[in-house]
This record gives sequence, C-alpha cells and structure tokens, in this order.
Amino acid sequence: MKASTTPKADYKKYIYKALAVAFWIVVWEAVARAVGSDLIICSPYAAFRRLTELCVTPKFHSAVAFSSLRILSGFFAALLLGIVCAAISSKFSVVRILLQPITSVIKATPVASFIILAIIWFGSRNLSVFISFLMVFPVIYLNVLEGIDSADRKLIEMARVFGIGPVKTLIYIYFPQILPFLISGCSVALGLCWKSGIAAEVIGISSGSVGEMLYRAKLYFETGDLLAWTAVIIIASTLFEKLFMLMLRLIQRKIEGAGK
Amino acid sequence: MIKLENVSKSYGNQHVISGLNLEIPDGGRLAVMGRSGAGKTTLLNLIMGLTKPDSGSVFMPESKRIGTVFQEDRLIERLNAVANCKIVMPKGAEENRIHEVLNSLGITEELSKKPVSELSGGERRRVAAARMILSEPDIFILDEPFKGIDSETLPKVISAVSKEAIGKTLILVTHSVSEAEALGCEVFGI
Repeated sequence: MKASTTPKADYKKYIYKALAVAFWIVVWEAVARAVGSDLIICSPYAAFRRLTELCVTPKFHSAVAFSSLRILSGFFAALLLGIVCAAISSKFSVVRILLQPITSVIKATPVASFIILAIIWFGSRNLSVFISFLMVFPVIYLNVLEGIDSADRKLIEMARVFGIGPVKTLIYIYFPQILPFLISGCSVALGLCWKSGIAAEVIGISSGSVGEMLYRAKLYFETGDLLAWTAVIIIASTLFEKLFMLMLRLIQRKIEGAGK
Repeated sequence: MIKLENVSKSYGNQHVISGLNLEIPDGGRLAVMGRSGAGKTTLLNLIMGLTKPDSGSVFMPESKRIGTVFQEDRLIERLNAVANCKIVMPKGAEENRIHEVLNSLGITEELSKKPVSELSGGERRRVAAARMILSEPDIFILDEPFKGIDSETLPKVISAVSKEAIGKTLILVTHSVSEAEALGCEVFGI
C-alpha cells in the first residue's frame, strides 16, 4: 500500500523528477553538439521542433489514432480474456494445466517470431492488435490467477456457509484480494503492449500506423522524425497508463471503502 | 433432522473422528464437549459441509439456512460491524434490526462504525454472534462463541443467542458446562 505523503514532500518529489529529466536533456544536447551531425543524432530542440510540426498534420492524427485503436483493442481483449481464463482456471484445474504451457511458450518466445508468424497468418493491417493481445494475455492471466489463489479461503468458506451470493462474494471477498495483482499486472502489461505493438507495426510496415512512420524515418535517415515519433509513443503510452491506473486505483479505493 | 451415520475423518495418519453416529432433531440443542483435538470443530465442519467424511454419511436438510460463529471470527477485516452483518442478511430482511441486535450484544453505535480490525477480541466475537443472528438461520452452529467475552457482558450475549434460537436447532462447541447449561443444551462427549 502506498504511504501517504505531505504536499510538501510531493512538491519536492516533482521538482527532483523534473531536474532529472532536465539533466538528461542537457546530456542529450551535449552529445548532439559533440557529434555535430543531425543525421546521427539531432538536438532536443530539433526533435521538439519536428514534433510540433508533425502535431498539426492530419497524417499525425490518423497515425496516432490507427495505432492507439489497435494496440488498446489488443490490450482490452487480453485484459478481458485474461480475467475470464483466470477465473475458469481457478475453478477447473484441467484448464489451468492446459493453459500453463501456452503462457510459458508466449513468455519465452521472442516477440519478433510472433510478429513474423502473424504477418504470414493475418497480414499487417491488424497485426498490432494480435501482438499486443499476445504480450498482455499471459501477464494479466497469471497475475489475476495469483490474486484468486491468494484469496482468503476461510472467508470464502464463511460466504458459502452463510449463503452469500456470488456477486457479494466477488465484491467483498475476491475483488479486494485480486485488485492489487491486477493493478501490478496492468502496469507491466501496458508498457509491453505499446512496445510490442509498435515493433509489430515497424516490422510489418502496417500502412498508416505510427510504426510505419518510424520505419520511414529510419529509411530516409530522418533522425528528427524518428525521435519525434518515439516521443509521441512515449507520451501516448504514459498518458494511457496513468489514466488507466488512476481508474483502477479509484475502483480499488471504492471497493475498500465500501462498508467502512 | 441432522444425521451422521458411521462417520470417520482423518487428517494424514491422525484419526480425528471414528465411526461416529449422531442424530440432532429439529429444534434440538446439543453441546459438543471434549478435550482439545478431539474433533469438535471437525464435526461442525462436517455438518456445515466444509469438509467431507472419509467414510459414512452426513445428512443435512438442504432447505435449512445455517448461521455460525466460527472459531476464528472470519469477519471481513476492513468492513465495520454493520457491513459485516449486512452482507449475510437474507433478501428482504429489515436492516434496522442490525443496530438492535448489535446493541443487545453490547456493541454501541460508535463501535459498530469502526472497521472490525480495530475491535478487541471480545468485541469481534460479539460481532460474529450478531452476524449469525442476523443471517436468520434455522440451524445455529457455534464454535467456542463466547471465548474472550468479559464476564460482565457474557450473560447478555448468551441470553440474546438463546432467545434468537428458540425453536431452532443449536449446536455448540464449548469447554464450559455452564455455557452449555445456560443455553439449555444436551451434552455430547466426543
């Protein structure tokens, strides 16, 4: 559980974070000046300028929408299926045994192998949906399953004896136990889905995607574009992660607060 | 009627219950007494269906509601006494009864608003007893329910439980003959 901090301590924490970011931007600028070639590494100012130029183009908005829609579709599909499969696995050991090798193989296989296979199977248009789904599913499934396994058996027995219905059992007994595991799983999975989804778009050269823009930047040695698009991915991924985690924490607080 | 026929239960090499036969008629009151480790809690778990016998049969009327005070409270720690009681109440039950029952067991309105994790051992036992009463059971199962309750409050709690269990089946596990007598139980040695 997160310890509560004073507003002053929070303020200091943000200052330190901003200073750390500023430090690395200065390092970046120094390296760019030392190299002296925009082709190899452009300055932070040049990358930022390119980003502002890109931001106002229709191509930018459609590429961001294209990639976000597909990557997040993969994420939500994996989230849903991961939770459902974990619930079924906790009840039926045969499902748990059947899914065990699949999750192990997905975790151990290089994402590039799946990307190439998926290009052969589905083509490149919706490649990032499948790849982000594949990367997220085992993380969510295993975390939720661990959460269900760690639920207090004695309270579950209590619910059974008193005839407490499945909805109340879920809300009052299972959810508070599972949510910390789900939150930790989502935090890992959200980073993974963006990285693997964009990698899939770059390898598959999915037309109209952010990955394709990255690929073109690489092809024409447009380092400014490359860094600008990378910044876009980082911003989109961080924004969504923060929003989604905030929503999960609000749900957690609501459930923990129920009946207090 | 609750009926156990030639029931045996072991945990590993340890035989806890061997060839037990027992009949508890509807409305009957039984105090199960015996040394620690004799199988008293196992017997209650068999009746509640929380454990299965290795051999023999346990007959339990399916339509009957069970209310229990477990040996270890089994309260939802982050919830207060009211919420712990509310979740076991049958549909359509009067919620204003919660405070009435909690008060009759010496749990004040102020105490009932605190998470049960902040209550003392005796207070938690009383909340567990209130929860059992408010679940409106046909069968009361109590596993050392008065452990940790101070002598001043104890008669009040016993009287509240006894009143609520009138005409219902009651099975009590205890080490105290006086508790068994106060609840009007027939003693069964195990």
